[in-house]
Order: sequence, then C-alpha cells, then structure tokens
Amino acid sequence: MANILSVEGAKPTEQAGLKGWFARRTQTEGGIAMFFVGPALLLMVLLNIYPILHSFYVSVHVYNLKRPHRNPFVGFENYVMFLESEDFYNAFINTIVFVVVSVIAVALLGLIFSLALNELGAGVRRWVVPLILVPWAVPYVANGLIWEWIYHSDYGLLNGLLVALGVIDKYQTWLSNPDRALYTLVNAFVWKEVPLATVLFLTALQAIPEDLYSAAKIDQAGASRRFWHITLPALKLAFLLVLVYTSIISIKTFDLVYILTEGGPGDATALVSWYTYVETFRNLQFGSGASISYVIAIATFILAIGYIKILYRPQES
Amino acid sequence: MAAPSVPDIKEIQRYRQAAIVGRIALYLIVAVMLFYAISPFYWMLNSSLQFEKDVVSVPPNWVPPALNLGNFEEIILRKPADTSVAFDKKMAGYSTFPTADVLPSMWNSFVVAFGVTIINVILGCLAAYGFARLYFKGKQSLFYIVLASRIVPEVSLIVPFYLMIRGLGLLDTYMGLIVAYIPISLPLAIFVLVAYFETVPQEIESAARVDGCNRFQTLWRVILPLSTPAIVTAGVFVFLTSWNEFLFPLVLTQTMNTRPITVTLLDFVSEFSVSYARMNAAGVACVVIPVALALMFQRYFVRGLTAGAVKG
Repeated sequence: MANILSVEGAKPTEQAGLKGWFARRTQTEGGIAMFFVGPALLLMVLLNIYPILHSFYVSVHVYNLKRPHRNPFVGFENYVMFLESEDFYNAFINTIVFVVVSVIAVALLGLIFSLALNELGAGVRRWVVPLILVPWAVPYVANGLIWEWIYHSDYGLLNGLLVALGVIDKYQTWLSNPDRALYTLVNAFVWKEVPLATVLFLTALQAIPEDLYSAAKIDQAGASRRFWHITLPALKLAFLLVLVYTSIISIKTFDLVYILTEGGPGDATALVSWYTYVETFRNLQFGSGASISYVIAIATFILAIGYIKILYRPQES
Repeated sequence: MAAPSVPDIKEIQRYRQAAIVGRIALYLIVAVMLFYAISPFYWMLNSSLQFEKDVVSVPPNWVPPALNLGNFEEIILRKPADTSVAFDKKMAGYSTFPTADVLPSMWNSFVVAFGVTIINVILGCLAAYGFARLYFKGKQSLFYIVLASRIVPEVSLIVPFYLMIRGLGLLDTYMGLIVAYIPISLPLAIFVLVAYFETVPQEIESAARVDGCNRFQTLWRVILPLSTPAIVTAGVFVFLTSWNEFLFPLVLTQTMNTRPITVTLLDFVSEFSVSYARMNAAGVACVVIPVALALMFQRYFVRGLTAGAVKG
C-alpha cells in the first residue's frame, strides 16, 4: 500500500467527500499511477483519440462542403470509391517508391555516417556531430524552400555546380521533370532525416563495450566478422527505431510536396497525403478524404508491427 | 596476443600505410558528410546576402559579390523595394516584392512552441514516471496506444480539429494552436522520458522512499535531477516539432495575431511575386531559432537518446 502524499502504510480512510475520494484512490499503486499518467492520457484521448474517432465517423458519411446540410450515411462507399480510383492508385505507387527509397537511404546513410563518426577522436567528433545534426532542426517548409532554390532550373546551385564540375553541359530541369521530381523530393526528405538516424545509431555504437572488440580481436576475428557479430546486433534496436520512425513520417510526408511540387508535374509526385489533402480541401470531399487517411494509418500500423516482429525479440535483451 | 616472432619491418610498414590510408578515407567521408549537411544552409545564407541581380546570375555567385543586408532589413522593417527593382524585374520576371510580417510571426511561433514545451514536458515527466515506475492494469497496451496514435496522418485530423477548436472559440488564438500541437509531440516526449527513467537505478528511488519521500517527491527530488539529458532532449524535440508545424496553423490561423513563421514563409515563395534574395532571407529567419536550439542543446541528445536507442 502506498499513498501519494504521505509515506507508506497510512491507514485506509473512511472520509467522505473529495478528500476521502482522494485518499481512497491513493491506496493502491494503480490508483496513484492514474494521478501521474492520467493528465497526459486524458489530453491524448480528448485531443487525439477523439479526433480520430470523429474522422472515422466522417469517413463513413458523405461530407461535401458544397452541400453542408446533407450528410447521408454511406457505409464504406467512400473507401470503395477511392480504392477504385486511378488517381489513388498512382499516389499509392508514388508513395511506395518514395517510402522505400527514403527509408533505405536514411538507414544506410545514417549507418555509414555514424560508423565514420564513431571512428573519429572524441575531440573532433564534438565539433562534427552538431553540424551534422543541423538539417534535422529545420522546418519542412524551410527545407522545401532551400531545395526549391537549389533545384531552380535557371539559377539553382545544383545546375551551377554540375556545370562547373563538367557533369552536365547545360542547365537541366529538376522539379518540373516528371522522371526526376519524385527523387528530388526523396533527397530533400533524406537530407532532413539522416541526422537523427545518425545520432540514434551513434548512441548505440558508443554504448558497445570496448571489451567486446578486444575479446574478438584476441579470438582472431577479422574486422568484417567483428562488424557482423558485434556491431550490427548491438544496433538492432536503433534500426528498429529508425525504420519505424522514418517509415511513419515518410508515409505522412506532406509539407515538402506542398512547397516543392504540389504533386506535379502532372501527378508525378502526388503522394497519398497530398491526394488526401486535395480530396479534402480542394474538392471539399471531407468524407472521402477521411477514409483515405484511415487506410494510410492502417497500412502504416501493419508496417510498424511487421518491423517489430522481425527485429524485436525482447528475450534477447 | 603475444607475437610468435619479431614481425619484419615490411609488415609494420604495410600496416602503417593501411592505417594512414584508412584515416584519410575517414576524413574524406566526414568532409563529404559535412558538405552534404551544411552546403544547403550556406547556399541559403549566401543568396540572402546578395542583391537580387547577383542572385539570378549564371553561373551562380559562390560568395556574394557585394554584401547586401537590405533583404533582411526589408523583410523585418517592411521597407519599400530598393532601386534595383526595375532591373531585376526584367531578369526574374516577378512583379512586386512581397513584404511580410516576419518578426511578429517569429514571435507567434516562439510563444506557441514555448507553451507547448512547458505543458508537454510537465505532462510527459508525470506520465513517464507512471509508465516507468508504477504498476497498473493495461500499462503496456496504454503505452503502445499512446505511441501508435501518432500514426494517423495529420491531414485527416485537421477537419475534426478545426471543428473542435472553432467550437471552443479558440480559432486564431495561441491557445487554439497550443491545444492542437500538444498531442503531436506528447507521445515522443513520453517515449524519450520513459526510456531514460527506466535507467535510473531503482535503489536510489527506494532509498528516497525509505527516507520518507512520497511518489511526487521522489520524482521531483530524485528522478528529475538525474534526468537532465532526457528532459532537455524531450523539451527540444517538442519545441522543434511545434515550431516546425505547418499544416495545422495553415488551417487554424487567420490573421497575423497568431500566424507562425512557417505559414508566413509561404508569402515569399508564391509563384508570381518571387524575390529570390528575400525568399532566402525569410528562410534564414525561419530556421535561425531551431538551428540555434539544436546547436545549443545537442550535447544532451546523445545521452538523452541513449536509453531509447540501446535498451528500448
């Protein structure tokens, strides 16, 4: 028995009123826990779970702002409608390409960066890590602005640099080129997300005891075997975090599309979140917009569970 | 490992050479990393310090040919456009320079992000203590539900939020934005703090309890003072997430009373009235505070995130 305000072992109370309620609630650890976890949970329920449920309600009705007072229940018609639409299919394929390329790039670059940083002396590392981390702090809107200017087809840095290096001989289009636009988005996304992945990997690398490597060296294990048998297993949890986190936010990518391409040229960079936005705020089909995001959320959830199933084995830790 | 015999000179030399080559390769990789991370910022700063006619030159100016602080003056003080306009107009094809309220919207961003940070760090610490140290029914699943609730795309939450905030009469107020931002970063704050609290030895807490501390006192006097890196990390995460938010304020703000810098930035990117120099200056204004924060507090991150990345 524990009490929230007095020390262990206070007598159970029969008091009535608020004071009594408070005293009774704090007789058990579970009761006390509610005072700690309760406020956050309450806010999460009000501000997150409720909107999610509300938006589910919207998704099974027709909500068209052009006809605000007629919202008939249509069941899963909205879902069927967009699942059959070609625009959604296109956005879906774009998103898969975007997510797969981004996640692989973020994980790989983050791994390489962190391995390099881990080899540096502590003195140099202290200066390099903050600089590497900087892109992570930038709002996606500013990120979009920065890259839009770099990609600019007439005055951009990318063209200027490539011409100066002799890679291309005249200025190219990037954002308005349907074959390149999606990858220019990927690059802007990866640029912002690699730093956090790097830091997560680096923290895991630094936590590996040096003895393990010394022991392996004594056992004559070569560098590659040390990497596969000591380094990589120690990074498992960091991998899980990076993969889950990057997948979730790459699937939701919206700000970048808004600033850089607005889904164009044509619909080459229309990701599902952009498609949802257009359906909701440009076509004003709230019901159908909400139904799309449900499918995105469920797909993301399944993906996250998949990662956890593959990478996370609690009994090993 | 004792060497079986004296290694010959050549072998030592070869080993040394390999080590030197390895070092050089390492520094090359680090140099490329730094270029990758920093050059886009340099380019934005570089463009923001040039005159419009220099910004639109081919090939680009790697450094400003003439230093011009006028872009910042312009976006902050809302001065009328400078005399190079007539010339620039022909070059870049824009019609007018947009001026926007950069400083007030930076202030708006700051107030809202700061408010959310205070609320979420306090709520996060309380909740994290509950999750890390107390037993209650359904703890695991509640924790996962809190984390998983972030999966739903913001785009779909906008409409319910708009209706809710309007219903509360909070449209175009700081409070409305704060309310909307809280659930976005609270789960992340809880996650970072729970992972860290779990690494604080149970014995220290038990000692405090024996000495007569109740649960709140243990949290306040024992756990929190030991958890500075995680608290700073969570706080910076929350602040940056809130500062960087774009879609919610785009829909939930209507006037300069509350419009944050991320939305104001749009005025500088609009297709028909672009001044590239000023657009970059506004970009600098948008990133300066987040970047300063990240640089100031990054030394806490590695320790603050270790618990999450190593032990889960």
